[in-house]
Amino acid sequence: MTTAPDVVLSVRGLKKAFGAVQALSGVDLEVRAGEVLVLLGENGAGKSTLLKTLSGMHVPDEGEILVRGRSLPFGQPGACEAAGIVTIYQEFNLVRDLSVAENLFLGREPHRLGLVDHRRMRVEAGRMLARVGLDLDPARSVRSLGVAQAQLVEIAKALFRLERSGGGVLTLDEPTAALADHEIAVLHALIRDLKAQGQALIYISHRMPELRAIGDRVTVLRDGASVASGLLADIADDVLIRAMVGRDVATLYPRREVAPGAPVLEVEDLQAPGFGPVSLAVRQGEIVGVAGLMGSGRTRLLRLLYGDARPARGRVRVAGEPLRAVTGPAGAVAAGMGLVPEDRKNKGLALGMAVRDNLAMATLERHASWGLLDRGSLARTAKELVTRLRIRCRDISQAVGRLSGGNQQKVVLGRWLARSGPVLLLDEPTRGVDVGARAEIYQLLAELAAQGKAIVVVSSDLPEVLGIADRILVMREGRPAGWLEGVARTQEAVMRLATGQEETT
Amino acid sequence: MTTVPDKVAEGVGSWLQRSMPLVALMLLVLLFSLLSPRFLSIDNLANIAVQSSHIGLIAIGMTLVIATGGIDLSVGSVLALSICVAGLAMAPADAGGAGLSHVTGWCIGLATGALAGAVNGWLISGLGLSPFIATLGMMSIARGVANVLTDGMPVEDLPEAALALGSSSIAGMPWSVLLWAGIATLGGLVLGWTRLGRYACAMGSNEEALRLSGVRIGPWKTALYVLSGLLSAAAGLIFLGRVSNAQPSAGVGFELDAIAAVVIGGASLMGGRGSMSGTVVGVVLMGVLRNGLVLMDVSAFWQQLVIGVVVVVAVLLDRWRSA
Amino acid sequence: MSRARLALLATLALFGLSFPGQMAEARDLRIAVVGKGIGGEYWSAVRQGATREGRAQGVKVTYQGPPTETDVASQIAIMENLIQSGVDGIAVSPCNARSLNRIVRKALASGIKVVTLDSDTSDKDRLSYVGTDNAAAGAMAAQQALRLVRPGSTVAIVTGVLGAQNLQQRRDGFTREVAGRLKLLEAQPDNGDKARAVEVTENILTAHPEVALFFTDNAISGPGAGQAIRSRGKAGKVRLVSMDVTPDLKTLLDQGVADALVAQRPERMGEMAVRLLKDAIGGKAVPNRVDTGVEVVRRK
Repeated sequence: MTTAPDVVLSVRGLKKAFGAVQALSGVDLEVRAGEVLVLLGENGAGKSTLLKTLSGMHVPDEGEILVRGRSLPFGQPGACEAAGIVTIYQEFNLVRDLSVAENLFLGREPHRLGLVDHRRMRVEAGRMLARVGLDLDPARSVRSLGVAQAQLVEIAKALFRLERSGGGVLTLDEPTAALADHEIAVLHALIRDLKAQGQALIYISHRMPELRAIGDRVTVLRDGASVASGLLADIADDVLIRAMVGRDVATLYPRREVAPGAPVLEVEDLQAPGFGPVSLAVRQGEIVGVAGLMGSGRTRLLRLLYGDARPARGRVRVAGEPLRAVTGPAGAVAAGMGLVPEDRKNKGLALGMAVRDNLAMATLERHASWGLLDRGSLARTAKELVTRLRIRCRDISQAVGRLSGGNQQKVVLGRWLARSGPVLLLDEPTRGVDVGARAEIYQLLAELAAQGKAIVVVSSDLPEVLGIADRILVMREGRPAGWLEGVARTQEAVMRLATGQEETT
Repeated sequence: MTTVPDKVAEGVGSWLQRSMPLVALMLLVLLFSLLSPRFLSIDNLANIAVQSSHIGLIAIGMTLVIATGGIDLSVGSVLALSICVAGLAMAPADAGGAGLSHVTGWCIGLATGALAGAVNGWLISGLGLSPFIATLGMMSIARGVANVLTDGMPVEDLPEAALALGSSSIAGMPWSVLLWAGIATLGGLVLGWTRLGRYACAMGSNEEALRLSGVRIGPWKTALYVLSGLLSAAAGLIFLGRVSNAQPSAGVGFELDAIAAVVIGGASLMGGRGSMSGTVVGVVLMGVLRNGLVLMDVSAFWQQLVIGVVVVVAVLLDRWRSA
Repeated sequence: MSRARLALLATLALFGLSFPGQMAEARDLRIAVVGKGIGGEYWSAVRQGATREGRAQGVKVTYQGPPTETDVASQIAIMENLIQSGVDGIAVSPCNARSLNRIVRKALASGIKVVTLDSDTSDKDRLSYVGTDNAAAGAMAAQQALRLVRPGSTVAIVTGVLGAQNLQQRRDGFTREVAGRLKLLEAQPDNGDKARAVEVTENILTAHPEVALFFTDNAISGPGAGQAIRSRGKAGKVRLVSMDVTPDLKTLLDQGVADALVAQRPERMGEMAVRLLKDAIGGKAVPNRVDTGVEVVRRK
């Protein structure tokens, strides 16, 4: 393979292992000047490892990275930036209490006579902000900015750094996840503008229409390797998805016979400030998916259902029994609900404690007699769950923090299996879970539904929602935008509802 | 490549890591018994146990609280308040007391400690104050109330029976040591074998996960602070017998001794981890150090230094252990 | 494993370090002095006096003390440990007069000679008490007060802890001496806290502007009261007579804030205690009380 003259970044045969886990097993890609390379891949496919290797946070085991023909020094974040690799991550990296100007120059403040040259900083900041089409006072604190403005400031900061390095590649990791439509439009216009100026970009997103709108080339990662690349216009969506998943979607998601029974979870008129009203009923044996953009109220819906947030009005009933909001999650659990929260590490697991303790966290009272815990029965239950869920751990006393993401998630699920309540709520159940464990989790959800449980799954992973949910509730700006059932469940239909391009019929 | 000897070495290493406090204690005992013939006498060992018993009781409650990631700085002041209230209840009427029986007085003292603990619990889980701030406040409040009630003067002329827990023995065993041993065993059961103990560790490890698992945090956490207050009061009853009167100035700095013992015993101040046997070892280790150094005619300054170094080394070892 | 071995070595080294190799030889007499505290100039003076006398007499003297002056339990524990260690004599300054009765009896019962120093136990069943005659010291302070202010003037007293017996005796001595000649306000405690002593004095100055003189009965209340008097601009107008001589108090004396200091002689206490113990161990009879006396320091 020869390098075309306009190739800015070229990655060849990149490999990286963490212990026994092969995070990257051969990545090749090229980014050209004035083009957007779309990087596609499921969670866990190796995207974030790739980005971190590019920006010098990981040292690869094999392979080479060339920036404008020169090889990139490994494992030196400063050098990587100087070479022209600048990445904007999903989570903001601005210091909220500093001003816009101070953020733009953080760590690279212009100096004069040993003091920070504030005048020059303001002038330069104004110029940088103008480049991203932002008209605001550089002295304002970042805290006072909206999400979209903050994002543009991040881009301005990144462009400034690229300028200093003499040009390179700008990487945007899911930049639109938190943006509203008109803000997305502004961002895309900016990207087109940058392209016209000859900037090379890598763009990561899960939203197919968006990618088609601005992408030129695509590289698909699966299990740490690049499995397909080419001009985006030449490749159809289903081909891309098959490349991402590695098999037909139908085999990842279990086939189910759905015969829903009586409603178990009934929600009437649930409202909170900026949210609702939402009414829904989930029947026995049914899996309801909840889709929508970030900030559309998906997670909020779960928290309100679960008593983790107080609704202004409305009613939740489990098996006909009304739930009192004041009782919080404890009341919801007592009524038969279980929640697998979005943020596994901060909200789901006691990472330092044993698998056994985490599995029993919601059922400890069942193992107590005369106030003392029956350790034998705790161990028996834990072992049963480990076997049933195929949780891969050394033994049940291993700290849960040592397990892989997929196995950790199975532990959270196992906790609710042990309780066997009629309602299960899941928020992003497969985020950071590898493909193998995902299939197992889907299979498990199917089994639970078949046993008559009512399941609600919130997910930003559209194929996942489409693959496992019988009905899909799409949320937009805190309100239900519509329901999709049967053959109407398509990726496009969900996106249309989520973005409000078309009301449902 | 790991060879069999490597694996054995690894096993020994991990055992050493886990039992570091006990190993240190055994080394210390060995050293002192080599250097002073009097160290290993039954009398002296009993002596160490009696001296350590009140801190031992406080440290049991402290272990539970620290397991939640909290702290109880008020233990010394709560001890003082409890014994002052108990003392005023038991002292004869002509000495300004209520002249109640010693058992009634003890119960009143224990109730006082539990009440102070309940207030701590309410401040922390009801009002959402950080444990450090809440118990720092209680540290001052309890001391203040004790001074107000007693006008800053020790409560004297307590009946001999009131002092029994700290000064008398049954079948050759001092009551204080029996109480400590018994309650430490119970404490171990609570920590490892009851919901309260497991929830305490889970709170320290990830309170949010526990809450979302449907456990009401408030009552459980309050119960732990009540236990800490109750045990401070119980320690006070032993202390009362040791010093013969109830002083509002009692117990200054006890919180630091108790926290040090818990940390030496292998608990993490970040919570989630704690061991009752480790805490007992920690208390005994500090008692042995104090005793042994006096036996060796080492001056007070050196003792302070050595104990300080031991605490720091314990924390460093702890970090190494959890790394 | 190498780390485990390293830690083991470090632990051994640490414990090895903690014995500066000062083991007593079997035939040496061993005397322990147990103060109320281990820091501060006063207790350093006691320790120095005792150590010097120990060298002179050829006995080994160690100094012990609880971390704070209110920590009776630690003091009792130290006494227990000393009994176990088989010392020949103990000089102790009880943190609390009653709490130490039992342990002093226990020490005597195990054949250890015990004297009290600086303050006494309430039962007084030690061999001897070495210290200031507190009532006499209080009376001495009162004479200074009478010299400084007109008859009928109002005098305020700032004390350390209300329950401490030695302070009580000083106040009693003071009160008896001025009875009928000066008007006394009720003594206010600062609980051994200098900042509190400043506050207490300020409050008195506000509530009783007629106060002409402060008597402070210890080395912490004195500097506190002096600081308050100075910051209120009352130096030289409101007089100050204090027990003890410390650098703070000497400065106040030089600045004209304090007018007379009644000094105890802590060094002499340590010295006399060791001498008496040596005598008692040698089978000689010792007096029941030894007054180490006071001296009055005035501005030159």
